[in-house]
Amino acid sequence: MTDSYLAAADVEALARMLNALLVEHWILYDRVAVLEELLAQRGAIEVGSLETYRPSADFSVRLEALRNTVFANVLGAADGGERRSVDELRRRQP
Amino acid sequence: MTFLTSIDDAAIDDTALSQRGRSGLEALGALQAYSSSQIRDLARKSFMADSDYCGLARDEVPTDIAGWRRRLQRSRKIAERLLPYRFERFNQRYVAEEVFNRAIPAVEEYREKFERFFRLPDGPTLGSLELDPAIKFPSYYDRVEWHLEPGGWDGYDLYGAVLAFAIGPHVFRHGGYAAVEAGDDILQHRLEAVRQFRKSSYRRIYEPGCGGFSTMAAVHRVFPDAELAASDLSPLLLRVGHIMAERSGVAVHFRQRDARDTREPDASVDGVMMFALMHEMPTTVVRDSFREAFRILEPGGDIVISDPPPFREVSPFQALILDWETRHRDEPFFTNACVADWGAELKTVGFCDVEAYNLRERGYPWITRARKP
Repeated sequence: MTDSYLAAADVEALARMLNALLVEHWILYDRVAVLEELLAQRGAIEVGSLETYRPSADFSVRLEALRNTVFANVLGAADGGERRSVDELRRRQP
Repeated sequence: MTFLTSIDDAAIDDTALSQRGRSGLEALGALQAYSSSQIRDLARKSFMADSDYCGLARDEVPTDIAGWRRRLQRSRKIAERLLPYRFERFNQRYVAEEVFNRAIPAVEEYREKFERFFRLPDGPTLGSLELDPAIKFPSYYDRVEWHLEPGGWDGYDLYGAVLAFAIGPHVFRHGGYAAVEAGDDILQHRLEAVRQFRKSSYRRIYEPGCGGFSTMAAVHRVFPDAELAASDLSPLLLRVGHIMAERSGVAVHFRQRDARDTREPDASVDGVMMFALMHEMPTTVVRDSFREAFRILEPGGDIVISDPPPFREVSPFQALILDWETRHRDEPFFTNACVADWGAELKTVGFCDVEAYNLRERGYPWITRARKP
């Protein structure tokens, strides 16, 4: 992408989106915490078991791949308009 | 508005929001708490370190609105160069809008439950509610979306739930909005303001522009034996105030009245309380409301007022924070109120023993109290 489509004033809209993302992010955090609490109350998991859980080798690989995808999606968004050759897109996670 | 900054355990099941509704508002509370303390402190320090600040702080304090406008413009020029100031003000506006954008759908999700909550309990009532369908709304009041509240005070039938159970306990409880400092609780401010009455007991206390039950709840805590009467222009705020008072077991007589024409008999009360009212009215209307308070007070009766502090009593940075409300939170009279001298106005009306002082370091709550000779 060679042209710029956003004006300086659009930083307002971006900041609103960033705040909204922060709020949505917290909602998800809160939901996970609620889930843990409910599961613990009902005896499905032990309190603290999430903290002491050690992923198996297989699960570690899957977690890492998921983490890399999320980081690439967020960090890569800044210049997402520049990196869109077929080769680059083929390497990108859906 | 009647809002709570914490919810009684007994009411939690009746008033709880969904996980999404609650946590979304809590996130806004966290955003405002951080922004209005950490980022604002940084903005304040940067403002005071600016090379143009010394000249501003040395200048004579203005005495009229034109002088204040010039001084505020100079302050704004300094502040708007500073990223922390711009960012903090952006967050302030964002939260001010977003609390309603999130709280209304969060309450709507449980419409039936909240409609049930805001019905009067069965049986005789302790207090009363008198609405006046023929009342004339003054032009300054109409069509203002006070505090960015969509549709204004009466714009949404469940604003009672929005303020009492959504925005209040999840966002406002952190303070950090308008004149309220981060970490301060406006319900505690009300209690402290009521404690500025000079006598240890009162027979009958009246609150014009009550906005609901919050101030009267504080009055009842400090003066449990006083008879309580309150008025407002908004029928919704009065209805919600009446129901919250009844649910709390406190007798308050709510009436739909203009603060300038309470229709109370001469010398019929010994205390008048005005909390956060003056900055919602043009100065001329405030003057007329003071005259009305003077008329209904008996000789020896007291008036206690709490409103944002005057610009002359706060730092240039704090004055800028207060002035911002006028344009950015739909508070058309905020700046005028901060330029006014309510003590002098009370003296003009005939009050004596006038005192004006703050209860906190940065000027808010600001108290003005006086006595009818």
